Parts: sequence; structure tokens; C-alpha cells
Amino acid sequence: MSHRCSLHCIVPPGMLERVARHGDDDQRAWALDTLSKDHSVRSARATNALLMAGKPKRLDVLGRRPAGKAKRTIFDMGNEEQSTGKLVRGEGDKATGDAATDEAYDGLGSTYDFYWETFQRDSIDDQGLHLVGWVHYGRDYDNAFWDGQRMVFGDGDGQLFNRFTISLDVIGHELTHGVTEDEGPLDYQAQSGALNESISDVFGSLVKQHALGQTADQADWLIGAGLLAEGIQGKALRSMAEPGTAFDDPVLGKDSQPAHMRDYVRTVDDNGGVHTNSGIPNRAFYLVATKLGGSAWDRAGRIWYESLRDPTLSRTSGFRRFGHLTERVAKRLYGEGSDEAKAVGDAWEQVGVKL
Amino acid sequence: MEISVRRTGGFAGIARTARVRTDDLDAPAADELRALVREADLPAVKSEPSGADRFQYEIHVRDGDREQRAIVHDGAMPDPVRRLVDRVQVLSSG
Repeated sequence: MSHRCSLHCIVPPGMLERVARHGDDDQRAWALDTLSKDHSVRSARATNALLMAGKPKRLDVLGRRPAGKAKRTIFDMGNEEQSTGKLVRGEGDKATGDAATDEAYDGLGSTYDFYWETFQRDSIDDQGLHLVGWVHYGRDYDNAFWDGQRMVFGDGDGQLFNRFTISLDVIGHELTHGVTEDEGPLDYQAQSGALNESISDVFGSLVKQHALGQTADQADWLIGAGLLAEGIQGKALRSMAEPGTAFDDPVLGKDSQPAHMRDYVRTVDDNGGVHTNSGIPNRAFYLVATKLGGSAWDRAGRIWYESLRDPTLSRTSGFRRFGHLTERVAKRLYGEGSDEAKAVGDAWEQVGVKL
Repeated sequence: MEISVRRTGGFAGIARTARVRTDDLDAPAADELRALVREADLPAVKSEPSGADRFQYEIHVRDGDREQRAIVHDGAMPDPVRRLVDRVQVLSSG
């Protein structure tokens, strides 16, 4: 944890905020920079409130919310991991010509638009949080992650992976980790962690389907299509339709995701297999969405979203708890004997989660 | 002394293991590695996942019949442990 709290542990709470509000330009810059090093949504929200200080409230004359609009900032990390980065594209700036920068900018925009147009959610925290993306992080860095405050994208090593901004669903996946942290959170460990991962895959895929205008039967239901480098045997990193079939390669190994509870993987790797066991709830969502047909975000997505927001979801909730919630939400939204409620119940049963 | 670093997790969730034995190194490199292990103080390490999709490292040191093991996470890793992990990965790939 030493990484996380550095200055924040030394400076009394509230002091940074006061400096950020009332200090001169240099002091403000220092305070905002220090606040930005604390990796949590709560601190991101505090920073956001300071950036917005003195600006008019986002309500129109009738007290309604104006149409949602993303506020994006992309930093180029210059292939370093320990760097403050260089601001390369802010909101409204024109394209830079750098693929990772422009894909991150556009992808964060598509993700924002998806959440706004589908659920009227105003960014990660539903309060218009600025979306910050770091690109060109590290050298040949084979990963993209959510660090608690921003989305970070590596360039990939070119041998196994291409740049991580290449798939829109990856960007949607990372931003959704912020949404889950804000709404849940779900502990990033074992079954609650696999559920957390699955929720990011579900909404990551929906962001892509929404941007492409695809119905459930037109979607590829793949996570990370285009991410595997040329020559790697596979079509993506994960398949929500058929977990365990996305890749099978001599160097990369074989996709090990289970599609059913009987194959649940117990391991100490990867925080208890959070990227492995997510295959089970991923398939449950796919089954509901394809059973109902049409735009997957309309009903299946709505049910999952409302379940994620349900106050009875706890940090340690697992598949069964979440399955129960989705069934309850489906009944509440669409009726006891509705097709939606039945599709949800059937899907969890098919993946071996007894409700 | 044998040191293995198993990296798991990340967005891809794919495992990679780096392994190095001091017997295979020249004396200065072997001494440096032993020092890094001492400074990392693995039995005292506490690390929780930070954020999501970050790498997890399982470090395993075997020295005769003595063993040390620790699991650490990117974003929540003490600097001396980071130096050990980086060193083992470089030596293993080199």
C-alpha cells in the first residue's frame, strides 16, 4: 500500500482540498497533482469537484439535467511506467494521428455515450467524472487496467498482443471497473472478483454492440477481438458465447474459461481466477441476451445494470447472490411470469448456478 | 538459491513464469540477487489488489530446505519487491 498513500498519508485530510481551492496557481497545481496520486474513485470525485468548483451546476433553467457529454483527457506516458505523462488530447481537441491516443479518446467517448444514452448515467460516478486515459504506458506492456482512478493502456509487445486500445470492448471493460467500484464495490477476489470481471466484460461488449448498432444475434460476443498479434492462433481473449474457445496457441496457451459451475477453477493465480471464472456469468448474460433478442442493452443490459446498482449487492456477493438479484429485477421490471424473468432463471440454471 | 516469479492476471489473465538460479550466475550477479531477496523481506510483505486487471506476482524463493513465498500486486508493491521481480524477469529472459 506504500505506493498508494505516499503524500496523502502525510498531509492532513482536507488540507489538499483547501490548497487546491484557495492556493495560487503553483500551489493549486501541486495539490491537484497530489490528489490525483491517490488511487480511488472517491478521491477522483473530490478532484473532479475541485476542477468544477465555481462552474455552474449542470442543470438547465427547469432544473433538468442537460444532455450528457463526456469530458476526456488523454495523457501519453512516453513508454514509461513512472511518469506524469504529457497531455496530448483534451475534450474537443482534434485527432492527433496517434492511433492509441485517438482510439482511447474515441473509445472513452463511445463508452460514455453508451452509459448516458442507455441508462442516463453521467460518467463513471453518475456525476460527470472526467475520464482520464493513459496511453503508451510502459515498454511493450501487455496489459490494460483500471488503477482506481483512470484507464491505463499498454502498447502490447507486438508478438503476442497488439495495442490494448485496439478493441472498443477493452476500453468499455476498463471504464466499467470504475462504475462497479462506484456502485458496488465487488471485492477483486475469488467469486466476487470473477463477477466484477464479468460485469466489465458484459458492459464492454455492450458498448461495442451499441457503437456498431448490432442486435444480440449479430454481435460476436468476443472480448479483445483484434488484440491478439498476427500469427497467434485465436480470435480474441474471451468468448462470452462459448467460454474456453477464444484461443488455443502454442505460445499463449489455451483459453481456460469454464462455461459451467462444475468446471469452476480453484486457484491462487489471478486473485482466485477472476479472469477465468468470469466465463460462467458471461455465458449466463449471453444466454439471456440471445434468448430475448433485439438490442442486448435494452432488456438484458438493463436487468444487469439495475442488479449492479441494487443496494443489497455486497462486496463479497458471488454468482448466486447476483443471479438472485437479476431474477428479482427482471420480475420487478417486466412482471412475474414475463419472458425476461424466465430467460434469466433459465440462463443461470444452464450455467449451473442454482438460484 | 532458486527464485521463481509467476505473473498471473492482467486483462488477459495469462500466466507467465520467470525462474533464475544463483548457480547459473556469475558471483557478483548471484550476490546482487541474494541481496535483493534479503531487502525484499518476503515474509513481511502484505499486498492487496489495487484497481482491476493489474498483474499479480507469486514469488517463491528456495534456498536449500528454506522457502519463502509472497503474493504481491502491481500498484501495491513495496519498491524492494519491485526491484527483485524486475531483476528476476530480466535475468530469466536474458
